[in-house]
Amino acid sequence: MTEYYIRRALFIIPTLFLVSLVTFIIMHATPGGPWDTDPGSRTSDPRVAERLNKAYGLDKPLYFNPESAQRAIAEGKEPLAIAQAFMDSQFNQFLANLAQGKFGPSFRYRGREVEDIIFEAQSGKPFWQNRFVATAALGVVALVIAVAIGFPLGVIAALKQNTWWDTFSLFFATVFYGIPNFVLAIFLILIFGAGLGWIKIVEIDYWDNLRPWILPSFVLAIPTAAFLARLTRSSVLEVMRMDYVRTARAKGLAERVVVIKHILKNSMIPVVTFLGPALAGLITGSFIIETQFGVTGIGRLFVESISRRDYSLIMALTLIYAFFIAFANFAVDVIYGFLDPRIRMGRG
Amino acid sequence: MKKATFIVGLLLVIAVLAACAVPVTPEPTKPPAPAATSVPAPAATTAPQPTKAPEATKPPAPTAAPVATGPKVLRLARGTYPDIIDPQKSSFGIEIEVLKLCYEGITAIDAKGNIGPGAADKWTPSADGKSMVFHIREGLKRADGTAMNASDYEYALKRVVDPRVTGKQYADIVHDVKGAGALIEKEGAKLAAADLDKLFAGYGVKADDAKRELTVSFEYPVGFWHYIAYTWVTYPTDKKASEASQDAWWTKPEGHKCNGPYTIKTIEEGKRIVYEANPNYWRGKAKIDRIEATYIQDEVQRFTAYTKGEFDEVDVTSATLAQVEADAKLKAEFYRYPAAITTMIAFNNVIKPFNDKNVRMAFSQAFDREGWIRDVSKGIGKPYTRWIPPGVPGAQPTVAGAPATDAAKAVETLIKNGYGTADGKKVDCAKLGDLKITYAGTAANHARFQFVAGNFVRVFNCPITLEPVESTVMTALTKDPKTNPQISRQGWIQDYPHPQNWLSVYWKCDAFAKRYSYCNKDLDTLMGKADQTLDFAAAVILYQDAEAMLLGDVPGAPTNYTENLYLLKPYVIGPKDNQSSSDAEWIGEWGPVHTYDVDLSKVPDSYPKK
Amino acid sequence: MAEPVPAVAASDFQVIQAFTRKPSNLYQDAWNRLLKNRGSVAGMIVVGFFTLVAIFASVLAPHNALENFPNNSYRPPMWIHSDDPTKSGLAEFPLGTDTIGRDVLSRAIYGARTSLIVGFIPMILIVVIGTIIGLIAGYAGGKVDQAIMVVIDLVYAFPDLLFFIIMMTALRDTWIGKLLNGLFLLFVSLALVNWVGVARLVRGQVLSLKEKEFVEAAHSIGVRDWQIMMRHLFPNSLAPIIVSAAFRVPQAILTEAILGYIGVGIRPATDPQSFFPTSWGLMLLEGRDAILTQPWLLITPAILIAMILLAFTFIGDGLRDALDPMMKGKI
Repeated sequence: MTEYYIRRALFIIPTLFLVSLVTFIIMHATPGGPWDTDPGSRTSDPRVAERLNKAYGLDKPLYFNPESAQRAIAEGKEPLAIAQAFMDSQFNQFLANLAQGKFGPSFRYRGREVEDIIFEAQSGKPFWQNRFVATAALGVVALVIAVAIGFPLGVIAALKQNTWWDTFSLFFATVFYGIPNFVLAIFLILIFGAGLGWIKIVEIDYWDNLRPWILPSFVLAIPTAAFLARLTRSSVLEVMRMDYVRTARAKGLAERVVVIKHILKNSMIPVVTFLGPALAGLITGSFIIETQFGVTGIGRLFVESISRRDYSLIMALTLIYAFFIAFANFAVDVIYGFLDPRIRMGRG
Repeated sequence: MKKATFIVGLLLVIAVLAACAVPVTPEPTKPPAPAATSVPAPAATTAPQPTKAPEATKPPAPTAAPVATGPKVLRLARGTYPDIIDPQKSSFGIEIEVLKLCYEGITAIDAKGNIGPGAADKWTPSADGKSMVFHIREGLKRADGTAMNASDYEYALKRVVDPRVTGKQYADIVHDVKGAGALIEKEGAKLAAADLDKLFAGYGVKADDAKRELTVSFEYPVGFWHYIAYTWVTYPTDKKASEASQDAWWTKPEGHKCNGPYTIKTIEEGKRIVYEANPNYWRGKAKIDRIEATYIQDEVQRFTAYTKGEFDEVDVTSATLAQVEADAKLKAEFYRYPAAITTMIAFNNVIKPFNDKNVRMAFSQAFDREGWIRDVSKGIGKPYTRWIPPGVPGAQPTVAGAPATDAAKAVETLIKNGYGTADGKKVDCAKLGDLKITYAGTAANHARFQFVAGNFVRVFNCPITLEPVESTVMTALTKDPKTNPQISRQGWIQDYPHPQNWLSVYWKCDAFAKRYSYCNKDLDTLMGKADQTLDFAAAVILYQDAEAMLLGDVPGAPTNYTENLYLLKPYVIGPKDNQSSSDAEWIGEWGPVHTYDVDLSKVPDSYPKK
Repeated sequence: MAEPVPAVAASDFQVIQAFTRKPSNLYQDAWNRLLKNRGSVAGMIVVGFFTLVAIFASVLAPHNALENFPNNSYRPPMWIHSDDPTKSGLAEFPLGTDTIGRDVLSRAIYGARTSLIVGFIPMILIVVIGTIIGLIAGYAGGKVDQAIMVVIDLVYAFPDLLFFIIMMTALRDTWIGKLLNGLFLLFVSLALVNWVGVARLVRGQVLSLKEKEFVEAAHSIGVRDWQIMMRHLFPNSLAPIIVSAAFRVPQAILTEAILGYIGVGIRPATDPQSFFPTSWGLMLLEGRDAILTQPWLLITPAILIAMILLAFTFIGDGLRDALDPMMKGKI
């Protein structure tokens, strides 16, 4: 069994490689480049772009460099040097950087390394107050909120199936789910900030306070909470029909005991296994919320990096996200195995 | 059953609260920003400026609220965060705004657009106009106390053409300087030290620290270089910091050794920049102790935060203008004045049918400028058929420019010039060929360009295609003459209030005009002659002739100039009296910032106390 | 785990039942159960209504969705009156006008077309692709299964949103991106990302089903593989597929709105004769800019989208309950 898990864990590596290759291919197929930003700026001079391309290695071929290899052969170099010349390309440069734990220089934030942008705190701040932690914290808080809302809603809906309780819980979850977060965010800001005055409309000190995190994580949590409510409902319903629940009731156990000990406990399995991918989803899905609420996290960076064609930043963030998702799926497999020994490996 | 569900819910809520505390535990008790570093505000101002300084320390009126005595803070609500804060690399207004608070150029400019002394207290052009000598004022210091001299500015002007520094987006602004072209050309190339020295030896910028003189020589007579001398490319980047890391020195506040009215205190990337008054500023220490610029993308959020007292200044856009106009209190805090930005419907001058001047004229007549301002911009901006906007020397807002809006005439123009049907009653669409408008496909733009297309369809009754592309693609298409769209919407934001910046910089054959494949040799000659005319008044007349010639060609149809719209709290003194058409970012941006003040006796409770 | 979950669940019994009885009866029962569910019936009525509106948009809409009426922008709905005659509601524009003076009601009616299509087509693509691949993987097993799982894991690990953005940016200016105003590209992108969920679901079902006696029996009497797949495995995994499909529809409608927000949504139509002149997602975006000036521009599409989401959610949950005996706790 251990061997299966190790194999499963190691499998993340080729997955990440393929993800980066696919991203690289589509990214470079996209028209426009990192220097095409402002129509009014004087970068109009094609020479500026040319010079920048050279400085940033964008003049190299994408995958392999036969030209440089031919030159090396002509110069009578060693086979190793020839191979090196052949591999002198943008994608291989990315891989070489990655092997050293680097993502290369950013194209938009010129002069800065991508890993610094993601993992370095603002000057004068403790090291952990960086973009990555901001996004991760937002995701974790959102997950907690999603569970706090979604799970009880689902349980209530199931216990009171086909009553107004059921309808209401579903209605509540879906109405919020139905409003896209870019609308919900500004709506709630206007209500709680301008209307009720409970929050500031523009929160500034995220790191020193708890309050600014509440609204963004709530908005982020809503779709997950809605999904969780449905998942819980269906899971509880299924357990409720099990023989052992019927037996427990027949034995004359108090309803409270039946619900908590038998029904809830067993219906948690699918819910718990859902939490891993849910967290990954929350962390990767926070870009709109970050922009709206002014959280300096990586979600916002991500969308901007695509529209600004900051190639190295796109690669880095895709990889980080893909790692999260792949790891979450792996974790689910492991947890599943522990929770329910019968399912091991059989699961997809 | 009921009870059970309740307990489950309760347990979860408790769990949530417990878990909540973990990821976001605040630092024990770190006091936010340290309180004002300097002595109480209005002390020691040796400013020679005549502006009257209102006494902030009037005996407090017998109101209940004690008058705030804390530092004076100006809180600006801003939109997009700058990408690069490097004087020799920046090119966007949002970037220059930051630099302008921290640095001062060789010369300086006032809100009226007049060039006056900056770091240099005087300058003298040579008789032939082929060089200019700037004298750097005595006792000039950076904020940290370091003495400054001509060589600090020489470094800046060398850095803007230095091949070892990559990504200098505005290098071309100094291309009139002798030897600049050769250096700019070599950007990024690996040069031997000797070659580099040779190139720099031929470069027309020389400092003489003993005499405190900076001499700039040109390839030909140049009459406007004292305008260039004010621009951000001359801001004195610190040599030590920038040579340690040409690319990243500006990301940390320590890198900026400011010599302007303010110093950069903290940089929170993507979010906030805090400035503090520079005690060594030669015009005197600023009266407002701190400026906080907070960046919020959403215009509605920005605006609402202002109305709730979270900011002292905010911009007004078409999304918020109606709110302002409906509210008497906001209306009193509202300022509206022309901006030095002209927009036009640009044509690719070699793509059929726009290779024919008559068609360009007809489209200029067809465009409903009033309707555009009324229905699309929601009243922001003014219809305009000229290129140089009001407020710039040489502008002639009242003189007729490109063909004005007149739908009937537009059709007539086309029919008269061979684009009519056989009976001469309608426009023959087949003769016009395919028409396509290309634009950056944002949500707001979709509606805008559907208006434009609808407008032309209504007038000519010919089909027209809309081609939204992603904004980065739009830039790429626009920049290359080979892909420049048949019809697009373009504009120009001025760098300095001089007609040269509006005409030569944009419309010379090898400048922006190249994008639209527009080239008029006679116009080039005329603009070149104006550029080399040393007498300003004489030059302006030449520029006016050039503008007339340009508008006669209708390379594009000017549609309107825009307006600056800002809200400013009544307790902030100064910015509203220094409005400038160059204020692209905040009201009074181009005024004497160090004289601005806050009347602490009038601030509300929400105003920061520390 | 105090209470071991019994290895053979009641559902297995149901599967055997399904085999012995005629399947149509089972679905007949499910349908009857569905009709008893108030929420589902309401949901079906709403969906039916919007479908009719979408089909007959050109008859129902008072104006062309793209026609702008000069000097009539930002009008409120007809029941709101204002002293300023330019800001008062008019019967001509029952739900008011938008930023450049287009009729909101007409836009909402035409927008139903796009939004419903965006909901349905990707759903069908996802279900078809996912089911076929899931069936093959589960039934064939071995190397084929492993290879398919590699692909599934890869797609799973790819951040969906990134994929949408990159696809929409990379291809929007090619002929594929221009097909159907960019709708085609949106369908393909949604399908490419989401088929894996269905495939995993189906594969799981098939893995457990193929060990069942009826499949072995079919094998032993020489029934061909594809016949086993189509006749036995597919119908028996249909229930979770249907439920999953019902939830895909609102998801796709929302995705379209969000992509529009990032600026990579479908392209706006210019031809007044266009079949898909606008979408609710696009209206939402334009409305968001006017949240303070003319909130109705936001409220109208928001209510419509919420209604359709609610309708599909109720249908989905109702289906789940109706098909419950065949379900295995999957969504």
